[in-house]
Amino acid sequence: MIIENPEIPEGINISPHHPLRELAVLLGGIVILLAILVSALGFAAEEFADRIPFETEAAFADNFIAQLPGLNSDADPNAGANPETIRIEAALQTLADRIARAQELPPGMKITVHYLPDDTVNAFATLGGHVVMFKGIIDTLHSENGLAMVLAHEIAHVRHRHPIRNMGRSLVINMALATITGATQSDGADTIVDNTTLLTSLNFSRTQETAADETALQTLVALYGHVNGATELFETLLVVSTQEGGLTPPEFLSTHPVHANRIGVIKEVAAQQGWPEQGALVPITGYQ
Amino acid sequence: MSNLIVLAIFLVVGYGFGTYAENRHYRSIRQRERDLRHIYVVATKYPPVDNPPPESTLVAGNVVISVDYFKRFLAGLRNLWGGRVSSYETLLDRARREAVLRMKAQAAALGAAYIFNIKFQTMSIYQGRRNSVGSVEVLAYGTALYPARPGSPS
Repeated sequence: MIIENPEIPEGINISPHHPLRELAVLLGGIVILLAILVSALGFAAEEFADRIPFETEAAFADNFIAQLPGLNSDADPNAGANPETIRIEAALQTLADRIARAQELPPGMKITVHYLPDDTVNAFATLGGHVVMFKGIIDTLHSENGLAMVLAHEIAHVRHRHPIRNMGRSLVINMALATITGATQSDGADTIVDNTTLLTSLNFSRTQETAADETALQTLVALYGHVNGATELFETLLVVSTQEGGLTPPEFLSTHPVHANRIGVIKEVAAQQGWPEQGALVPITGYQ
Repeated sequence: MSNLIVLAIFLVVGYGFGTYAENRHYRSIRQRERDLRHIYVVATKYPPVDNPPPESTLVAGNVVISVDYFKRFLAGLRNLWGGRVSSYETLLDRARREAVLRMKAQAAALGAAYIFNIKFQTMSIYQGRRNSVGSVEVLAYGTALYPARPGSPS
């Protein structure tokens, strides 16, 4: 028996590719694929969600609106709320109804305003035409015009069916993502997947914000004849964030366009449409 | 966003240390392979019939090597597309060669010239989160043949 010990060539068991090149190809591929997938799925889901009748959305929303703390359900109106809250909520509801008429909401689309006596500077619209206004945001405003801008912005979201569209989109996208991240079996790769999705979907959200701003401006013109007061909220927020030395996130990472940017866009739209920027302001006294 | 930055730092650190450790290990492997070339490693079960018959004993080499964060990340991405998981290829190549070298070092200490019936066992001994491969163990073992010492029973 002849036994030999040949020298084995180096590297025969290893692919010749450089790992960094492989990283670039794989990462580029996944980011592009995800961006396409999220956009396509999101678009399709939104189109479907748009065809859900508002009545169905409202009936669905009633199930969980009743469970949110501090929000009064229709079945149990204002139970245990203090008179101040009831008064302000009624005043806001009256303003919302004026805005709803000005925005010519489709028949059956009912806006319900909820007032929360909390210092959070926020307002949001959710499924079923429910709009939540916090005491904190009303306190930052100086005129009814400014308040009407915020409320009209939230009602415009409802009018454009943004809440149901967003819910449909995130439902479909999250299902697709769960499938993909299940396949990678790697936490690092999942981080890439999640962030790509976030950035891709934020873009939709900012388009919606701009659309809501435009509709809200139009509403101000219909109600008051001018857009004075429209930028009140953002001017206050801009001063607050500058004073606090707080970090303003770059626009790409934020659902809402940055305050300064938003003021600029609002002024630009008003100028384009020829809406007067000056005019008398209505005092906010009834809402504070 | 901050988790993207953390991920990037982990990837850079993993790539840096991983590449350094791998290059150093390969240099060491190549050097010791040259040094131990005089020991023949053979897969057959049947050694040549010699007279007088040699002594025989089991020799084994065992090694555990972990993969760095960068390579694990790369393998995770590869899971989506399919294809050669080349980031694990060097891991297994190094582990097999190191195990053989440790086995050969044991044989060299006995003065053996041959190891017959060499076998490998490979397993993933650490399951990272969600069953990702963390580190592998490779065991190489075989029968070393060395000349009978005078006076020892044959």
